[in-house]
Amino acid sequence: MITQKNGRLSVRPPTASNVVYDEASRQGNGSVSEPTTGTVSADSAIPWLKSDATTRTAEIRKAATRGYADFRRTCDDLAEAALHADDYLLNGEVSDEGLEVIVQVDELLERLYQCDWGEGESVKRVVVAIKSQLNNVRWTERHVGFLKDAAFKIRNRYLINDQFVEECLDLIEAHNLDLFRGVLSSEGIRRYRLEEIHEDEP
Amino acid sequence: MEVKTKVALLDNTIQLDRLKAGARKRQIDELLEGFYCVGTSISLLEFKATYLQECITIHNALRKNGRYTVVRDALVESQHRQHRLRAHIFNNMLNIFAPSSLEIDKEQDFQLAEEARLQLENVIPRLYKWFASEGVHSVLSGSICCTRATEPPRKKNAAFEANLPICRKSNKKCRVEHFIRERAIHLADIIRELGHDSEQLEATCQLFEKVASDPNADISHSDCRRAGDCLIALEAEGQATHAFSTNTSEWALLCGILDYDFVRVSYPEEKKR
Repeated sequence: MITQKNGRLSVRPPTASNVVYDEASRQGNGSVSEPTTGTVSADSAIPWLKSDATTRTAEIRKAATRGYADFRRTCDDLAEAALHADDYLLNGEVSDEGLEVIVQVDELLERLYQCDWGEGESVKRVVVAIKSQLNNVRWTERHVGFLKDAAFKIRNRYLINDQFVEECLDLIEAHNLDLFRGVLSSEGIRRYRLEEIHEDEP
Repeated sequence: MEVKTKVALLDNTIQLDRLKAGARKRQIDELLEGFYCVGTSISLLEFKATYLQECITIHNALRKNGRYTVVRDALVESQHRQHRLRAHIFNNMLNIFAPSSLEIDKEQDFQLAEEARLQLENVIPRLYKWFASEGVHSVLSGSICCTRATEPPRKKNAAFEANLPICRKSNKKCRVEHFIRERAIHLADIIRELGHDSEQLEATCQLFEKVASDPNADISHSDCRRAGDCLIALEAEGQATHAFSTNTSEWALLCGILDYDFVRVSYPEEKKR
């Protein structure tokens, strides 16, 4: 009898309950004849089932390998971009020229968000945690330090799960950043005002 | 043993304001400079039932509906009494910026909802810990020992729950009824004697009198929250020297009775605009 559980096929030997007996042969010498309808017997089914299950397993393995390859490649790129952020630190803040790094990091975090890797939504939660500290703020040494540590931490980890997410959240606090940050930090605010220009002024 | 001379009891409004807006947070932090800050088990219960509950409501709505701008507009515009708190959470805690709901496309809206939901999943468990261990120096819980306050919010397979079941004798170990009969009822007598014009204090006195006269009284967390100011003030009696609140009408009277220095917190910068 063929059963499917958790995506795997398994075959149980035929028993009285799962094989249809041919009435004529039962009345004859008592041996079991080939079933005419209903469940297919184990012996005749195995060859094509085996290859089907093998193909499916192979496909699952290929997808997982591709997923990890994408994830790892993105992490490598992110770690490299994080290191470049150091080159644009001026007086404790990333200068305007460093915008290229910020845009690059943003794009890489989007790519990481789409990676098919990790347990459940763990990778996505990690990306959201990183973005919560880097979005809409003027990057300072603390932000760059946090980005570098987070990028290398995720790059060096194979298993991404809830425990890893907690470690990333701990990293935010370790860099003296605010996990509940949602208010604009003073570094990011610029004030503008309208001024009337008189005719005689240049 | 170090004797603390300045112990600040923080009302829940102060704790919420520290999370609501940066300007308020900075002002409160300046006022609290040099104080040893305490909360109580009832103020932790109040925090769970307001801020955490609204974060969980938003999380569940984002998961169910799936579109960020739709959920945001519906929850902020509703007539629910916490709609302003919800607006603060969307504007300040989530830090997710959506284009106009008239322009945003569906796919982007779904993605923003997912990011907002995941941000809340990261933050909700830590908010509870923040209150209990970082928001104040200590939480005074020896008098009432609120059971609901000790139970953090938890995530089931998909949804969060604030973990606030209706309190019954079978599922709680607190001493609130005993506390009311031993101490709170005397406070109610003094409040009546002094006179007041607060509906909330009147309701609180009625609750205390009802519990004191009924040996089988079994109140739930919603009753404790309605009498929150009095219970919080009493839990800290003998330990706090100052009480901070934005709410003058109840706290000024309570501080006079319980011998706290009352520090009223207001935001004049906001009033100027």
